[in-house]
This record gives sequence, C-alpha cells and structure tokens, in this order.
Amino acid sequence: MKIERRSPSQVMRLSRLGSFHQCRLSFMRQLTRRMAREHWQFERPVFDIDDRGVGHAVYTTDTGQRTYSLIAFAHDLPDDQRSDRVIAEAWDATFTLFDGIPTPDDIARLSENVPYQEAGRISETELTLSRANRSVRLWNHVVGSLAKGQQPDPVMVNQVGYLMRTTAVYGSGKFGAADHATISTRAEFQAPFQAEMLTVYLIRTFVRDLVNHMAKVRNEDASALDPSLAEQLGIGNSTGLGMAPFLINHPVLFNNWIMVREEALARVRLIENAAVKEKDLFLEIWSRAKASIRDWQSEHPIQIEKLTALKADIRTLENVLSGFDWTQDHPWDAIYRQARDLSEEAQELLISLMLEPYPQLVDDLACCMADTLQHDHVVDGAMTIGKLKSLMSEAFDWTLEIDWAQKDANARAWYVSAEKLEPRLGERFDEPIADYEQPLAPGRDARAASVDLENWDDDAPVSAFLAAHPEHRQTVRRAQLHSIAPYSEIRDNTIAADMKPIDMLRAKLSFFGATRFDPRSDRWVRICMYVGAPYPEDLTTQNADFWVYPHLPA
Amino acid sequence: MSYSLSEIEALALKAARGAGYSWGLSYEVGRAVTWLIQADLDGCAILGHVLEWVSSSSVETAHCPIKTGVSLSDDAYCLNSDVRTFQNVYEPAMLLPFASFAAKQLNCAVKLELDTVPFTISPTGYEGQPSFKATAQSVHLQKTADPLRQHNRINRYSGSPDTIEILQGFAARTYAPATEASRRLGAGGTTSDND
Repeated sequence: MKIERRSPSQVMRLSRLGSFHQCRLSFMRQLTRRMAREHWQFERPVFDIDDRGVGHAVYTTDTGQRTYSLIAFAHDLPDDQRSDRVIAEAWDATFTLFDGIPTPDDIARLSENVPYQEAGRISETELTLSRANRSVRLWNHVVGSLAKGQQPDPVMVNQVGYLMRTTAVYGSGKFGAADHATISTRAEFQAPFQAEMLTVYLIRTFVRDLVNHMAKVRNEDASALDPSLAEQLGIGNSTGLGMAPFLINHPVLFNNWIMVREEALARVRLIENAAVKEKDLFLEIWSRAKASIRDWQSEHPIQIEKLTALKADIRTLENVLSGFDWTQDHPWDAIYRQARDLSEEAQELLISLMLEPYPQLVDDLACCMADTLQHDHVVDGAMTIGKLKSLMSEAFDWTLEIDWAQKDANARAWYVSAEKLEPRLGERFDEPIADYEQPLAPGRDARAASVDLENWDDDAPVSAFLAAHPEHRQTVRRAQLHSIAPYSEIRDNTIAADMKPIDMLRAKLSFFGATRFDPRSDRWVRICMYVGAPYPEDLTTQNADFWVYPHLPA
Repeated sequence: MSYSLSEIEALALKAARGAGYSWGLSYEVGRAVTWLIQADLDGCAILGHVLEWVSSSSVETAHCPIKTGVSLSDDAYCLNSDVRTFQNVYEPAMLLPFASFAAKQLNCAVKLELDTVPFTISPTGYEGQPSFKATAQSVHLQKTADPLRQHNRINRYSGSPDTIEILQGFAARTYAPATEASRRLGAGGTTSDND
C-alpha cells in the first residue's frame, strides 16, 4: 500500500477548492497559538468615542520584542450610504495597524487619511488598512437589549455571527503601507497574512467595546455584553472578486498552501497506530464540528445544495465512526478511504479534522506556506523548446479536454472598472470589455501557446520562441514555475460560462481560517472570522487552538 | 509622501500594458522599475520617458529598451561565449535591471557599456556613474570574471507626483469605463448590505 500526496489533478479543481474547510494550518489559528505561546500583552490606551459613536480608539499588543497598535476610527454612517462594495466611500468604522505606538501627530495624520480608505494615503509605519460595516439588524438588537439591562437573543447572535464585517483588509504595500518584504523577516510575520489576521483580531475587541459603549450611551445602567455571547461573535467579512485574481497571480504562494496541507494529510494517513488520546481528541473535535455545521446557514441555492449533501454525508461518516476498529493498521488512511465516495465538502471537512490530533506532525509545515521564490524567478531563455513542451504538458494537459472553440469556453472576461478600480467579471460577448481583459485565463493562454509551439524545433531555445511570440511570455513563466510548484495551476477554465468565482474565494478564505461560508451570489461571499475565539484578556495556550470548534452544551 | 515598492510595481505593470506592451512584458517592466528604484534611480521617470516615446512618432528612430532588455535577459546564456551588441537604444537606463537579471542567471557580474560608459552590474545593484543620455548609440554587454557584489537597496519610492501621474495616465487605459450595466452586473451580492 502506497500513500502519497494527492495529485494536483485531483486537488486543483475549482469544485474541490471551493469545498475547502479551515484546519490547524489556518493563518488565524497560527496567530492565536503564537500570541498565547509568546504571552503577547494587550492594552487599550485610548477609547475616545462620543455619544454619537464617533471618535477613535487605540489597542496595543506587545509581543515582547515589538508593539503593534490598531487605530480604530468610528463614524456615524447614514444607512443609505452603507455598501460592502469597493465603490463605497464611507463606512461604519475604519482601521489601520500601526507599526509601534502612534504619537498624536500620527493619529492626526491618519485621521485625515484612514477614514477615506483608497482615497487617502498611509505610510511605511502602517501595516494594514481596513474598514467595516455593521450588521444593522444585530447591532440594533444588541444595543437595544443591553440598554434595557438584558442580554441579546442568543439564537440571533448565533445566526448572524458578527456585529461588524470587514469589507477589505489591505496589506502588503497597498496605498503606501509597508511592503510585505520589510516585515516578513520578523518571526511573527513570516507566515502569510499575519498582520491582516492581527488587525481583524483587534477589530473584534474594538467592536465588542463599541457596542457596550453605545448601550451605555443610551442608558448608563445598561448591561455589558455577556462574555460567553461576546465569544460567539466573530468579525464577518464580505468578500468579492478582488480575492480571486490573487490565487492566479500568486501561483507559487498558492502552491505552498496546498502542498503543505496535502503533505500534512499524507503524514497523518501514514500513521500506523492511533493512540487513544489522539482518537479521543478527533472524536471530540468531530462532535464539535458537527454542531457548527448544524449552525451553518445560507440562503443561496448553491450553498444550500452543498450543505444538504454535507449533512447527509456526516450521517454516513457517523455510522462509519461508530463501528470503526481503531486498532487496525493505518486507521486514518482507512477513514480517509471510506470517505472517497462522499461529497467534496465532506471529504475536505474530514481531512481538516484528521489533522487536529497531530500538531507535532503538522504545525512545523506552517513555515513553508510563505513564498519568496516567485518574485526572484527569472524566465529561463536557455531552456529548450522540448523541455518547455514537457513542462507545459504537466501544467496544462487539462486544457486539451476543453473545446476552446465553443463560445461557452470563452464566455467571461475579468476586468478592472475605472469606477474606483473595482475588480469585475463580465460577459465577453455581451459587454464591451474584451479590450480591458486582465490576464486571468492561464488555461486559454496556454492552449494558444501550445498551438504556436507545435512548429518549433525541440532543440531551439525558449528565448527564440519568446522573441517571436512575446504574447506567450506569461505562459512560459507559469510553466517554468510549475516545475517547482506542482499545485500552482487551477486546472479549470477561469473564463468558462459556468465558472463560479466563489470557489476561488472560498479556497483562499479557508486558509485564512474563515467559517460559515455564505455566498450572496456566484461572486460574493460572506464569512465569519474568529467566532468562538478568546478575547485578548482571556487568551491562553489552553484555548488558543481549538476555539474554532464550538463547545457542546453541557 | 512615499510609495511602497509593490504599489509602484503594480502601477508600472499597468502603465506598460496601457501603453501597448503584452502582459508578459508588462510584468517584466514592473520588476525592472522596482529594481531601478532599489538601485536609487528614478525608475518611474525612466519608464515614463519610454512610454511617452513609444506612444509618439519618434518610436521609429531608435530601439525600445524594454524589448532590448528582455532579450538581454532571455539570452543571458549567450554571454558565456559572446558579447551582445546593440545600436541606438532609447532611454538606455532601462537596460540596467535586465542586465542584472542576466547577471543573476550567470551567477557573476556583467559589464554594460553605454556609449563606452561602463556599469558593473550585479543582481542587487550597479557600480558606475548614474548619468544617462536620451539614446545610447552603442550598447555592449558582456560577462565578467567579477563575483557578485552586494549593494544597498532603497525600499520606498519618493519621486514626484507628476511622474506618478504620467504612469497613472497610461495605467488608466487598462480600466473599463464605468457604466451602469457594469456596476450592476460586474460585482457584488444580490441582496442589500443593510442587513
């Protein structure tokens, strides 16, 4: 019996990527484990918010080596201006993560820029830029209840899952922020998106404090939000098309995330015997995960169908587990193989859960999730055409199965609108957007390059092909990168008529650690982050890891 | 006000595309402009000159430094046996980053001569006098026996807003015009955000 990492042809399909679940390698949980392990200290030196809910606050975190500060600006946003889209121009709250402790001059400068988001500028002392909008219904209900001396309805709290949702969290040099390369040499920022995850973690604390404050404004005898209810509130996120191009534009980074998870899965499948405490932990997490699936709601037909299949498959797996012989050799592989005929949602959930009992096998892979290779890569013009053809075949053989002459195969075009540079997806044959198409169809482009390569001598250098065909340069680059990054290519047509961008959004968000995927269209999804996580004052090494699985009622 | 390198790289890429270069070449332009800035040269101004020239009628009178540069990098292996020679290259400063990409592939420094003015180039920078003419009549590139040198790298761009505006003008050609239909269909959820 041979156990290897699953192949790219199996994993790198949009429907499977769109069924990924968070796991212990998620960026959020890497952060909470680190903050607890290193005893990061949290304070709130400023909370200067008036009776209209307008003002600013500062939350600091001291890692022991450095201090980072979330600066939060709270605004009084009229309902008719509230929009989650990139084209919005005002928000309920805006944020930046400051590298250090801000001076009054820093606050003054940032107060003139951060509330304007993309229309303002930040500098190298700022690491992220973000904004959030209220869940209007839940916000009003919570403030109203607390003001009456009561706690909000736990069912509504659970249903919505958040008081505010971020609609963008920009990092990595955007709008003048510090470049990723300047902070990724710091141990706490080596893993992907740590500054963004820290920003959202601190935003959640601010939002809890703000809702308590607004209740007290209404009635000075208001109750404070019960800590157990506060814990069930995460920060939502409203994610659109901007995230999808990321996976295509960062192929080596995406490869690293996937490869690490596949390696973790292979390691667990190779385990010969499951210790009793490992089995017990898995079964406990399994029960808690089932409870969170029961709470997962969506009104979108796509997700409803997936959830129906998932819930049915959970019942099947429950039967498998109840009769399971844990003393057999390679028990995890046996469970994995039992799931192979189930829905992708169920398979990927099971895989994520199987990793949980094995931090000692899985967590050290986290340092391989970053990437510095892609940016340093130079196209190799000396490579022979023959070699290039074989690399192209490995990366793009799947494109042979698509009839690119069909209209449906070319139906879509990704573009950027002049309207606030919002990323959009359009219908190529119905809208005047083809001239503005972004290079987000590597499959189509690779097929075109393959056709032109047919007439070239195998011994000729790639540089000659590129001199004659500069339009194929991206394909050549991707094929060369693929030789060191086998999971870098999405093996589906990203401009097909039936392509669902939410599959790409979900893949990326699952690595962030998001839960409760709730599509609002085929290209817009709501999710929740940090639901169940301890707040800074409660964070310990005991609760820093499995908070993502809800505790079962006693 | 300063700019991050990644936002400049993205701007340079879009500007090159807006001026008509393929996406693949535009990606190289982003990398080249970043390299110039890290080497303490005004990469945005240099790119601006190239793009304005490419869009003008003078483009017939000299060779494009981006296409020449990409050829220098793609054919780096040829430097093992040959000297590369070009005539009449516009805005020759744009060749330095591509020479450095060649140096990286060869794992040794390269010597670029622009009208006999020499530059010794490693992946992280160059040695030489940073004074460039609008056009280099003769360009020579050869391998050297020198090892790679480590150079100090600048990590922010502080050029003039006018320079940035020129590039933004070219980049804007890559954005689809805002229309009601595009706004309605192109992005977003189907329900309101006031829930």
